[in-house]
Amino acid sequence: MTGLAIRGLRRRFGGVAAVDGVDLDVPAGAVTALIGPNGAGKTTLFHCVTGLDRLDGGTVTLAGRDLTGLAPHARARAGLAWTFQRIELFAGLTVAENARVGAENRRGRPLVAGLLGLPDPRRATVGAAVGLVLERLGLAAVADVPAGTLPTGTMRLVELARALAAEPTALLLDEPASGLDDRQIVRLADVLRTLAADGLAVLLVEHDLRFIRAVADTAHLMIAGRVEASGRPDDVLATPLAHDVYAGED
Amino acid sequence: MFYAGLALNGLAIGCVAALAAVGLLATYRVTGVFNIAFGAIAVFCAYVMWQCVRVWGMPVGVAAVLVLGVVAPGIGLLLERVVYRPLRGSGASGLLVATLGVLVLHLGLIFLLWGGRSYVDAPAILPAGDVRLPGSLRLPYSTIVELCVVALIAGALTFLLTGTRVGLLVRAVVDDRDLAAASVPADRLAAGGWAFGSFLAGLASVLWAPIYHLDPYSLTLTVLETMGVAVLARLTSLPVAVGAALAVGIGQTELTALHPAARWQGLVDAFHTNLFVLVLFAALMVLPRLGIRDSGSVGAGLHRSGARRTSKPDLVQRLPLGTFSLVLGLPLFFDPADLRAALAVPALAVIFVSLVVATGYAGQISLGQAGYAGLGALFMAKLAAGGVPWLAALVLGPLLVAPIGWLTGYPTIRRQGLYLALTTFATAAVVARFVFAQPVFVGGLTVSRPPGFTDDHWFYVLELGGLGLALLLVRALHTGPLGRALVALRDSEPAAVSAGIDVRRLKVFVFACAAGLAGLGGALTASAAEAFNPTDFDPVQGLVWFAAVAVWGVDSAVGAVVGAAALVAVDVGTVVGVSGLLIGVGAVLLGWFPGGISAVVRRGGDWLVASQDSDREAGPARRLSPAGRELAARLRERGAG
Repeated sequence: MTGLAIRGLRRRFGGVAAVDGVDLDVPAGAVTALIGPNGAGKTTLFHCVTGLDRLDGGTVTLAGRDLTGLAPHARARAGLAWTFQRIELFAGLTVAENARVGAENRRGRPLVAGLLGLPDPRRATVGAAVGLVLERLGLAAVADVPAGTLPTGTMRLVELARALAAEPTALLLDEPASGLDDRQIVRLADVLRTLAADGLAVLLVEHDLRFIRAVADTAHLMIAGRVEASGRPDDVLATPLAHDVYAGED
Repeated sequence: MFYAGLALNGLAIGCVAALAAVGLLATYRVTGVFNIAFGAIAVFCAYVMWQCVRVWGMPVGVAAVLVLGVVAPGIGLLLERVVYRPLRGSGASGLLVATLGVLVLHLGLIFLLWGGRSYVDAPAILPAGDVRLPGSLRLPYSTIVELCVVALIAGALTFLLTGTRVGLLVRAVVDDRDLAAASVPADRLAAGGWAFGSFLAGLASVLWAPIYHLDPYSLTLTVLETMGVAVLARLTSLPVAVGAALAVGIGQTELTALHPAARWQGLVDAFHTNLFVLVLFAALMVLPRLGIRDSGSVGAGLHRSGARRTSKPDLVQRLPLGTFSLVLGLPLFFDPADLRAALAVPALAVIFVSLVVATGYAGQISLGQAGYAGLGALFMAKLAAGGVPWLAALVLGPLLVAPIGWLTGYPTIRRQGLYLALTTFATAAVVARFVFAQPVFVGGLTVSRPPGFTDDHWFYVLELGGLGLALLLVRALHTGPLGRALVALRDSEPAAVSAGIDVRRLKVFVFACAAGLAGLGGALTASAAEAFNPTDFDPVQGLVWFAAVAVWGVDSAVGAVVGAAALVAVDVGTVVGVSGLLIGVGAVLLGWFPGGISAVVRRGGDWLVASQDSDREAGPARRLSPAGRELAARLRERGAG
């Protein structure tokens, strides 16, 4: 499989199984959504996949490469990119520099080389990747603006720009539409569809059902640490379980 | 019976440590602030007590009432109102710098008012004499009273905090002062907490002073070292802290009974006189975390708000290099005495710059730079003693410190905020006690200047060369991919990880660079003085340096250099204590001007540049925010279309 494959993933906190043997495929070229009520284990699963939390069992593979034992930064370098539920960016850097950090660290470089001021052979490709991403996300006009001074919605896009600048194989987004206005949500949906069309594997954790319907190819409903329903978003949202969870929404 | 006698002696030491630990913990639990300045406040109170009795002739009882009933609580109330109340909501680092400021301020006052002199005749309030126990053992009255005081305070406070409504309210205020303020008199409770905490500092000082002679640095450091037992209690359990203090005190005296082979005796002696330092160091290394709310790297108050701008140089960066060099070169035209004093500037500037690298650029608080500086000087002297030419030793010595920074930095990479600060301080304290204070390492050391640089003029030029090299290194750490990675690490560690940055490797690398730089500064300091003086690298001195750099701007290398020059100038041009007073005042007020003096200058420069730019810009767009300008540009595009 060319995308992200999660097999038998388990994570327990004391006696509680936050993630209980989840199997999930995030195929390349498609947008996959993970939905469910608060406390279902979506964010825990997200953290186990990225390596921010340890897992008690199971495997995570990306394009056939086993990531399970790797540190988070090594997973990032292996092609896994992610953004956070609570915005995390480099407030002391400009928008363009935020994206540059994502592009520059995709491959390790001896720290001493930086200290000695040796030229970075990837400089040109990094610049091109950053320019492309900023253009794609509509951030070119604020490229030189300090990221910490931007409105929340734009900050979310800067996070996404940082993730995309690394030219990842799979992209994990934790509530990416949170804080965005309608115009930005439409643009984000367009961007994600385009990225998927370009072959990227995209996994969303999201509560905005309209957004899910607009952008996702597949949805997985997670309840109490287990995936209880999978399929096209409309089909999954039509199940009785989803009705119970999302009663009154949408 | 011999060992029981030793245990009773150890009990007296343990009581002193328990009193300090209870004071630290009590202050922390009723105010939420880990008051590193506790020892300095205590020492200040002890000096006031000495002044009242020995100079003004007051009866000991009256002086004790004045110190414990007025001076000590008054200090607490003043600190709460002027320093800590404005800082509520600040991160742990903002509070840490404020407490360091309070520490430096009190030391400055002691130097200013008493010249920093040591006194051995501190008045005693406890009766002399002892109780005879079976087996010819004796237990001093003072130990009995101290034990009772410790037990009473620990017991009463534990009951108050866990078994009463007042305790519940205090815990609510400590947890979230703003939230608690909606239903309880939070400010009054916090003020009461500070008054009580300072009272305990005063009480501790009144009981200690007759045991230890009064000395600003050594007594403050002694109290700081007892933080180990508070750390062992994870800053929560008063009974554990008391038990640990008594156990370590007894263990310390029991070690005196050990008489191993002669070659090991020095090491055993070092252990038994410094067991509290070891406990502090070991506890910080072993315990995974403290019971403190402590997150992030360097919080509000240390860094300037807004962004590090890489596209437009600010006013400080616009300062022509030539002008800067010219100013630093001015001492070459000073008279010999002033030039000799100015030799301290480049060396201190290099040490300050090392703090900028660790704390300013990477967000890793380091209170241990004094230790690395001293090691740089020591290695240089040892290499020279081993036949290495002095100039080569001056370069190689600091280079050898870098791997030590790497090794000591490794255990700290998972620590943040206050925990990291304490760990780095403990490292410096261990180095000071087990290396700089041991004749086997520093006895008979001679330090000379490299041939050709023995004259002050030429040595100053050599120092400027060292400073130039340090600034080049800093520039490399502040620009390009490495500089961006460091800012990323400082601003958001999770995001830095997600971007593929190996934050552990980067942190240790920065520690090694900063240690090497501090080592260079230390080597230059010793060379300038032509002597290795351990007091130059006292861990408490390191705290003063940290506060000074924070005041000048922890992320400004230029600010660090100017700060070093200003510190030396104030020390030379005024009486002793003034510099400490100024640094202390600056540090406690840092909440009012985030980012320090360099940020104020920078903001002024930005304002000037912005005024000029806006005059050039046409139309109303000049008053728009970046987002507004983007919108205006889009509207113009739409209009054009």
